[in-house]
Amino acid sequence: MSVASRLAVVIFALVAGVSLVVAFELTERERQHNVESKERAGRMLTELFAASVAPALDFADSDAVTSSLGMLARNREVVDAAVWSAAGDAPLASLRPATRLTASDRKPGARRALDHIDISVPARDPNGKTLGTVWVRVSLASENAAFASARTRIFWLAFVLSGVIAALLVALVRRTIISPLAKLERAARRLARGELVELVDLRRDEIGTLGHTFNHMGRVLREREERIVAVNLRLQGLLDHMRQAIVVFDGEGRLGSERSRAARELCGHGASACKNVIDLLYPSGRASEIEREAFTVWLAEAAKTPPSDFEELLELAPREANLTSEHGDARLFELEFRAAASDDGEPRIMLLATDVTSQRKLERSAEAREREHQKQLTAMRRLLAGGGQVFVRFLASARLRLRETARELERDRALGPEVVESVFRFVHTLRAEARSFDLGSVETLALGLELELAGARHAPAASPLRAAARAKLVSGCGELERELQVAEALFVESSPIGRRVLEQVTVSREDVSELYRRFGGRKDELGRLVSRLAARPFGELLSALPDSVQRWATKEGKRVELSVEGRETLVPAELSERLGGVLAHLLRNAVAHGIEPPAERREKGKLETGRIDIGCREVPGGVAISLADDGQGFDEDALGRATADGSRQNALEIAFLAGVSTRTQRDELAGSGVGLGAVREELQKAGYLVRMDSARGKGATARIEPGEARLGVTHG
Amino acid sequence: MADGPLIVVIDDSEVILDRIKLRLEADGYRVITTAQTVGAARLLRGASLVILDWHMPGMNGGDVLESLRAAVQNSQTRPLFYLYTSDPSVAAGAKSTGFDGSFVNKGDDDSLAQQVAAAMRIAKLKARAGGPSSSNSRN
Repeated sequence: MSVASRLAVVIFALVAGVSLVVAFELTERERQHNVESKERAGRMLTELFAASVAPALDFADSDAVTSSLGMLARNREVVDAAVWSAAGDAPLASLRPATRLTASDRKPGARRALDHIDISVPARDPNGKTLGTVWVRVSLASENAAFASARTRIFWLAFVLSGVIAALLVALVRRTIISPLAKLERAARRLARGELVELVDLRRDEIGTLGHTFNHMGRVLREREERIVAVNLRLQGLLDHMRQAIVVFDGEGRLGSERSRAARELCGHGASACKNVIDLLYPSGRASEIEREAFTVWLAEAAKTPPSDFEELLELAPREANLTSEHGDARLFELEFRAAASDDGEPRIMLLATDVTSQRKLERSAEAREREHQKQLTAMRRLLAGGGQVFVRFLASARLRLRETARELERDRALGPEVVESVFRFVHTLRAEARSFDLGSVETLALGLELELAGARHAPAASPLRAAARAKLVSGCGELERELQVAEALFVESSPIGRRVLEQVTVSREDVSELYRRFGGRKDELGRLVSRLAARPFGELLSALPDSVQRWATKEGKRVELSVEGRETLVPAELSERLGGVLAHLLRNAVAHGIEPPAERREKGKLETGRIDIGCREVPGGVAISLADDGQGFDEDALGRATADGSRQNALEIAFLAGVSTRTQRDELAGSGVGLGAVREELQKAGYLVRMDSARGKGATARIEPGEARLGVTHG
Repeated sequence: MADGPLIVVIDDSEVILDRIKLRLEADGYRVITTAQTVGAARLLRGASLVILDWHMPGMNGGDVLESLRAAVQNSQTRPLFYLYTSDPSVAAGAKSTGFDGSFVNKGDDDSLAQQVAAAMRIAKLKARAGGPSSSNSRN
């Protein structure tokens, strides 16, 4: 029931009730007044009747009494009457003998009943002597009828009046209170649904004030909502600019509404997959059950893990997952989980999924290329060890024949039978040679051309097949030329003497040494030629040392990377004879004394792997060689203490003195104190000087340069 | 050199064994492979996971599993035994045969690596939760 209806009923009941009570009270008083008037009239009538029957009673004339009663009965208001003599108990006469009268009825006075009034009066003689009693019953029928009629009128009047008042009040209340409140209530409901509303035509009363307050509240909410929307848009923008697919989920895996653009794209293939993170990462039927189970178990554990322990749990989270993009292609995602802020105490976890498909493909491709490169390098090293001269001749011959073939193809555009046969023999031979040198790509290309020519052999002259074969031959020759260049580059790269390997001829080293002994000292053209012939590429002198360095480092528990520059630089014969031993000494020293163990380097903020750079370059008078390490440098204090007088002067020079070592224990690598001294002596025999530079904590560099004598020889 | 958990792989195909070894070692596991079922039990010492092929010459994976389980039943720790198959129906029945689980998509080495990682994680999570786990102490 509405407020208006309830109000109407209450108002109606109240007005009607009050009207009836008041009306009834008024009519009751009116009736009482009428009854009292009737009683006074009845008393006068009874007293007159008593005076009229007094003589008859004095003479005990009952007939006269009866006659008087008859006359009294003519009055319509008298319904009964009786007369007693003073001596008798029973009435002397009465109008209705059937009425049972008692002694109390003879008592003087008036007695009211609902429909009549009984009045008893004594009949007296003129002397005041009581002769008897007169009793008269007066009817109240006319008063009661008037009273009932008035009540009925009042009842209906009150009913109508109440209805009218209630209707008027309800109309007033509806217009001033209920309707505005209902309007406010509807507006509040719309506001609750998120609609932005504003009330208009507001009255200037309390309800109107409430409406204005409501409008103000709506504006505040609207502004706040606009700010929230703006903040959310900024956050969403940030999320969307992240390349990761970002979602947030609860302890049961239910996904929240926070999603980045990449996540929405990921969800694009099916809304059902985006209700739960388990189905998103490991869809039933597509992902393996074991991965789905592992993630489900992890999620259950995460749900009951306090945030403080979450980091530990992350170790057990999956790192990667294969997901299907909206285009249906399989993508590999790297997964990262983080505890997300929660406003209701329930655990929430953020997932950042990064598409690493392309990255992994690149990495794998690079690894495959690296493996292939290493494989080819190994093949080239085998080749070098087993006869590099043959390979060099093969390269030169193959290139020459390729150029000839290109010229033949240019001359004979119709690809005649002679050219077909000639080129076929060439590519067939080339394929066999390439196979013998492990050149897979050259072999494959040659095989392709061979098959092409086999088909063209039987094709009619000037046929499209021959034209197509010729075009493929032309492009194939270009590809073969490029592959041969790659093979040559690899050969040079794997060679310890760089491009010099391409210039070498097979000559007995002993013969060259003999020539140098005989003519190397001459200062004429022959002497210079022999010296040049006896010179050896720097890389050749070093060829065994890289492996040795790694072996020494492993023995010392250290990690070392060796870098060589100037492998092609020719080292004069007198130095090259001694340089192998000298460099071995210096490298052993660098590994033993210079490079620190990995843990110590880590503490110093250095890379765990130490570095030794060796370089060789031509300078006036010969070559200059440097050997630098990034180790701890020389301990000049220790070197000072190692001398007899404890001098710290020119401490680095002390390192070259025989018997000086900073190493307390002698071992295979260092500690005898004869190394650097012997190095200087050896180099002096070849006319070279050696000196050391050192920066404590940063490393040391040994520099080998031509001495004055050699410079004099050159310039002299 | 890898120093991760030890995995023993038993398969009659040397090619498959080589591929699995290469792939799992790339993820840091130590891997022992064997095509021989006879004497395979001696390889299980210290292993965290044993990956078995179902179709072995003369016997199936269930028989191999039974013999291997018998060999390690008195060990303080015992490895997880997983079936590796491309047959979904065989995989579905792996647990009822006595395996701890199954790896599917046989031939897809990357998928195997992900499944192996998942199996290891399950073992650790169950151990962490204090629940029943058949795994031994993991590295």
